[in-house]
Amino acid sequence: MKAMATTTEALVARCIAGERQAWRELHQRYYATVYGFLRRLGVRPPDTEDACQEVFVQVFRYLATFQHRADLRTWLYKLSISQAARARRRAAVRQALRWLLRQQIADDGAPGAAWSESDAQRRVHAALDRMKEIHRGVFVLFELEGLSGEEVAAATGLPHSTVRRRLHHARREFEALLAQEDPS
Amino acid sequence: MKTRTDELPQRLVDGRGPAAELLRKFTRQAPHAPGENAAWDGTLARLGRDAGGQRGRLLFALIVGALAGAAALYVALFPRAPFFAARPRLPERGAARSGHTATPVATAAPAPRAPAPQIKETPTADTPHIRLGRAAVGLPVGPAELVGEADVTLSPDGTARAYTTSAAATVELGTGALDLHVEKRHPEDGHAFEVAAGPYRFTVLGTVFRVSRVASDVTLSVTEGRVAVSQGKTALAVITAGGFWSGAVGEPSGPTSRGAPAAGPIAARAAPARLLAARAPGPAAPATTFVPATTSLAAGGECAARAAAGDAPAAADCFRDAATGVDLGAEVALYEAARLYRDALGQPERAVAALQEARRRFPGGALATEVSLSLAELLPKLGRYREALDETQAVLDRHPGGPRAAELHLLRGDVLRAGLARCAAAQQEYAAAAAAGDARVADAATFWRAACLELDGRRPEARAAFALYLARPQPRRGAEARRHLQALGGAEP
Repeated sequence: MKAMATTTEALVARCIAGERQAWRELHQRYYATVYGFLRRLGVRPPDTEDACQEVFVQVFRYLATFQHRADLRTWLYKLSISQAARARRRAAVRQALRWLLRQQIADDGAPGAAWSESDAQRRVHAALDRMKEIHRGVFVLFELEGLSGEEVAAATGLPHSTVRRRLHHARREFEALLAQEDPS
Repeated sequence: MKTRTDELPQRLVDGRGPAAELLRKFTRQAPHAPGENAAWDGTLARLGRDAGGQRGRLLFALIVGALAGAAALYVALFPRAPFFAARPRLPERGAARSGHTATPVATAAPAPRAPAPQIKETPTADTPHIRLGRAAVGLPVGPAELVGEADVTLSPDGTARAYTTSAAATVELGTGALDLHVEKRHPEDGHAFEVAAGPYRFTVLGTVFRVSRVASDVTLSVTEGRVAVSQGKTALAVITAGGFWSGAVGEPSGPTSRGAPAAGPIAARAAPARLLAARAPGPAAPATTFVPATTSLAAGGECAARAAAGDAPAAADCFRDAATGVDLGAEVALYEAARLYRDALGQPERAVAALQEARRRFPGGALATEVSLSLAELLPKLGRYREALDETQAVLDRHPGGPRAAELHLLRGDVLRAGLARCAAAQQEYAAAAAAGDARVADAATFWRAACLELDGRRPEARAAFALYLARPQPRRGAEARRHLQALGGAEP
């Protein structure tokens, strides 16, 4: 853990120094994490790549101001959360424009078109999609990304007590959504 | 460092149960992140475009600024435009009675507490001012001010007349729809305001509301305040803000003249569209034309006429086309289209689609409960049992112990039994329906509860339940119940 942290710090330092290869390494190391997290936050595949790129653009733009007050991964989660919210807003606006323009464009993010995941993936994603936004972030960070309570609080900017309360409700919601999908 | 982590519970994935098992499977399979190389290229390209992006954002900010400036200029030049104008205050009733001029005060009135979506027109100098007397006078189509009493808007297909006595001002609605904004009434004033439509009377307790009468249906929807509904001397209901009430008129006819001291003819017939256009105010009072505000309502009247003439497909299309906008007229039109698909055209899929659209577009609409009930009845017919259960549960949650609760429990029981083969859960629903329902609902619920017990293999309980059913007065499925009881080895009571 300590070695990993040092490596990350060194990597960040090399990035700040303008070493192009370091940027590439950072991207390689965290790309899958950010992509997966965005997916679990309900950003659908056509938008996920876009949101992912935007997160890394933000990282590279503001890395010089990153002072290791938090773990780099936590910062990435924080950027991803705001990027996911932006992606969902864009999707909503797109939907409204289509409605206004009466365009019959298929929803390329609709389940069925791009679902190639296993049944477990599909069911969990379906439940996550239907969760309340305020619950989803906390749930994904704690349950799926394996962050500690403090890390969740840092990534979401919420007090620890709020994290705990939201997590409690999020679990109940998640289990209820799974039960709804499978009445047996 | 992680001391507070201990306060959080164990992760689901480390626990037991179906959710834990599913999450374990889920986390074993990392999400497929396509093409890191391509993503990297995209990120670099995006970074390269950064300066361009900033220029774009600057341009966007300039455009937004220009639009905001134009809007401010528009408000300054046209302060009475409909989006911005304050609602005129009604003159005091006492002042109107004493012969003061009834010109509405058009400025400096505070904005209403909540928007009144059903009254779209702001009365202007061109709005007819009608001073009511004991002789009934016909109301014109469109907006009108009943001096000292209310602002009203009669739909283009509407007919109505009004008169006043010392006890109340009364508007009798013949056909069409009437939107009203009535100042708050206090019982001690001793002067009520009421609307009569067929046999029903709607007594205003201070409110914004609409009454419509199409063919044999009278409907009331209340936007603000409360309205008391009565029939003859029988009080039927008090409808509060957001509420909806409907009743049937036995024989479609003109408004009753009961209570009208001098029942004159209904003078205001539906005005043709060209006359409405002629009503549009001139340049001095722009943008208060009648047609846009009540388009869906006007079209709804035409559609209802087509339905009454038996042309259901055309009526459904007509309602569908009329369901534009965000007012009650659009909501009603969409609901009517769904009803036609369901009842007259046998197209449940289209009915469900229309109802779901209604719920999406009008989530807190006047017909929200009706929409949910209709969906709950339709979805099982399409095999969408889970959604039907959600719908019924939503209605039961919103109106626990409501008048349709027993019926909904019966429906849930049927869905669970016949659709999902979950007899154990169905029994509970049937028990609730039997306890609260009328004779018809209780009859069905009691029978099917017994059948469920038999299907579950609980023979002694099933025997007792069938015996209980046969002990009911005139059980509808008596013969069937006897057969089951004999097969179970039980004796008829």
